[in-house]
Amino acid sequence: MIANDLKILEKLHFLSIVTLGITASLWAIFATHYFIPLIWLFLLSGLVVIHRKSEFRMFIKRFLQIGGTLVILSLLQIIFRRSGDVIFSVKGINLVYAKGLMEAILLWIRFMILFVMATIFSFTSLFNLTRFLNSIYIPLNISLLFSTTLKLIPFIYFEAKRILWFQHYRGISFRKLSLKGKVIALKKLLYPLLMRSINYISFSGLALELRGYGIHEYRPLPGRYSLKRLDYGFIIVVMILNIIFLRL
Amino acid sequence: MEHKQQNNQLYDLLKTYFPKGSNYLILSNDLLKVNSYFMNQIYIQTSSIHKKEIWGEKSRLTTQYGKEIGWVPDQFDHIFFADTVRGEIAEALINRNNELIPEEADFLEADNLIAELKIEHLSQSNPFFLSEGETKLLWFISQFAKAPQYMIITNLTAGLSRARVLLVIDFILKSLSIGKIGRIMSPTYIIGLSPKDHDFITMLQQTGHWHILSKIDFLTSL
Repeated sequence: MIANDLKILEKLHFLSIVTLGITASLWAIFATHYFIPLIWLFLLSGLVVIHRKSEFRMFIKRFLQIGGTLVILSLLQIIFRRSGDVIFSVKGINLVYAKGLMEAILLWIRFMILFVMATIFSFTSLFNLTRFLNSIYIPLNISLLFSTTLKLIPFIYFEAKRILWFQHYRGISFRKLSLKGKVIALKKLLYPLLMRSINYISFSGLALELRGYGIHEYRPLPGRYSLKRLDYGFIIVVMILNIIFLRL
Repeated sequence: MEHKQQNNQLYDLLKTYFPKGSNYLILSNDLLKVNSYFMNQIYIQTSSIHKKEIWGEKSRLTTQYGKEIGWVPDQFDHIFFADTVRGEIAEALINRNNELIPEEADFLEADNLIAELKIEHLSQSNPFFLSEGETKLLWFISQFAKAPQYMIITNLTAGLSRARVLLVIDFILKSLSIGKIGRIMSPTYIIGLSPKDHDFITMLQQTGHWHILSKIDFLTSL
């Protein structure tokens, strides 16, 4: 199964992914009809599926979970946006308007594009992000800030799981707690999480300082990080798609 | 269900191999094996691996387990929940009853335990800024405060200075001689010690009935 994975996103330059992300986001923001953003959503989803076929089911499952949750959010748009032609009414009470429905669909697509883009970014190497920022002369402080922040997310997740274990081992049963108790237990989870995160960050900062980071504003990272044929091809395809969509 | 059986199996084995009415000293030069065995059984097998397990069966068993077994490993990345040592022990006293906010009586009980272990100077310290030995002492006392059936200290001397080992031994001996400290009943102690620490062994044997296990065959045969 793993052999079928193309892992195209790992081969792409970060600039290619950024180009894709910006293009899809701009279409999602400025499009007034849902057709083109929907195509972008399919294209991005297809890219994720091609990248890792073995996780196709997992991706679809998450897509449906997030999508299902966002449908509720989009419904609010239908309720509060009351302009355009009436599409649906019950006993003379107008419930769904054309503009409201259109914007609800657009809102859902925008959020889903964000979700798929986040998935795409999660497949790319964090070091590539640092190298990309370094190659466009972003100060090292900022590029390291990005990568450290992103690296902290799994740390916090695993720490939270550990803290939960410690709470359970103390004898606390979350199932038997009242709602108020659950809130207090979650509050208690935050304190060690904060303390340990600060500890982790301070040690990371110290380690970086000891290695000489922060002395110079710009410091070239070792190894070349340039665009390859695949990247040129990819960016050209994205541009062609943009031109086609602009003509539609 | 598999995990439930495994964990219950361990607790049953503890009851079989370490029946109550006696305390146990594991005298071995290879205490690392003892430590890793209990680390595997108590922490690794019960700690959550998948997202689903956070609220699932494993967590329920961890809770059940936590109520029965107090555990002090060799080296462990401990996590505490309160901002003072006093508060931490007070919380440990009530968590067993699924309560989260200690009352004044619990703080007084915590003060009593702190006084018994002679660490009054740490009472208001933040648990996150304690030294390794102080952390181990706090972990020991917070495990004792859970009022467990068994208290497993896989290597008593690891990470502790001689003076602090003596503090712990005094605490254990007092709990055994009186049968309880404060409102916490004395558990069945299972303590790992190196045979060369014969002075500590002699001290421990002063009070209570101790069963000495010189081999760790029972661990490998499990």
